[in-house]
Amino acid sequence: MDIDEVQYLSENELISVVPNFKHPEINLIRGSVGPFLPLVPLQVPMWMAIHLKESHRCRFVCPEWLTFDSVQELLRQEQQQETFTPMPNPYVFILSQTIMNVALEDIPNGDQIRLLMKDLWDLRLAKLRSSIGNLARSGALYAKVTHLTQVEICLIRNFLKTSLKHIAQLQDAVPDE
Amino acid sequence: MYEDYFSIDDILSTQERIRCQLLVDIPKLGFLESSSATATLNDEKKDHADEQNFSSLTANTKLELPYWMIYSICNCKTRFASLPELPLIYSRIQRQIFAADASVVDLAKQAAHFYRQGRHLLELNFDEKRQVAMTLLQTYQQRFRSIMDASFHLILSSDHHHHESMKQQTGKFERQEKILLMLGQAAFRDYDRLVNNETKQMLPPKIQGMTTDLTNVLNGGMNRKRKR
Repeated sequence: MDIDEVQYLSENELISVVPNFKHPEINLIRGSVGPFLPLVPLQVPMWMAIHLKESHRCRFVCPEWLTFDSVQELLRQEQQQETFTPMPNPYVFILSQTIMNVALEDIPNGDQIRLLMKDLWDLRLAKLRSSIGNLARSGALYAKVTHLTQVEICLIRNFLKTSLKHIAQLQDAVPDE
Repeated sequence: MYEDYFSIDDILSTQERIRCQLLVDIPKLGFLESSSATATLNDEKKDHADEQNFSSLTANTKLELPYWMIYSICNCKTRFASLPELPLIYSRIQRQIFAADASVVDLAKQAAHFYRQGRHLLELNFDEKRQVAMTLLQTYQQRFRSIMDASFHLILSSDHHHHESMKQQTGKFERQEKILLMLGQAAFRDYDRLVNNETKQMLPPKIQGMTTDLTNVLNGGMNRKRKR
């Protein structure tokens, strides 16, 4: 999966918005998006929310996992644990990026959250690198890693696949005695 | 064992010459004895062949033949030749160097197809098979960390200082390791595009056969029209 595909898929997640127009229910293939009433918050898919925002028809409601406190809590947990902590959403990094790009004014402390997200990303990447390094060095057959986001998986997929193939080929060539 | 018939890596790695020793007499191939490092069996040898036409190769002569030939004659039922010594990079002294510290060895210069050639060699029969196999594996594992570090750092081409130090490091990688490096960097380059918001840009398609100068001229021409 390319990074483009992951971004495309991430836009399907639901997010709360507050519209400023009135419109009856819209029926889509995946489900229906409820009747739009001014100043009544409702859940819409991300792609729709971006479109509405860019045509100035709605205002974003900050999701619970993107508030300053919860991100700080995530960062703290990540720093304490050696393994990866579960993320509230499989697309946290992409979604936070998208939301920041489109609706920065709706998120309180947007810049600080951006910095925290970057710290979180760097921390997880460092953990990834050390665990891959350990895997290659030990020559184990497999390793179990939990709670990785899609973006991170996408990053290391090709690299890890090819390097493990090489190691497996070299291991096979060792004659048994 | 081989990847496929047209695989360039296989072709390059199997055409290295390896010394072998004949076990039986082979008639009429006496001219092979003088061909060690130069290109073999071309026209000048044919002239010689008129004189040495029917001389034969005696047993126990040492020849240097490319690997793909040795694979056929060393492994078949009636073995014509055996392998007395390995190429230099797999010898015991080199193996000790690898065991000490594998990441300093300049594989690009000494053996650009180290791993692949090693795997091909392991198909033949010789004494120190297990040690060579273990050396290959452990060398790869030791060098893996530096490949990963190099590939996960995205160095812009405009950043000359880092560029130089990266070149120094990656100059020692052999072909397989360089491929791995490219894969890792491509993934990170994609992520960079995401962060810089370039994934949603619509780019003009790359027109085959046109240089970038031509496409710029095309785009420039279009813009000029719109300004009217």
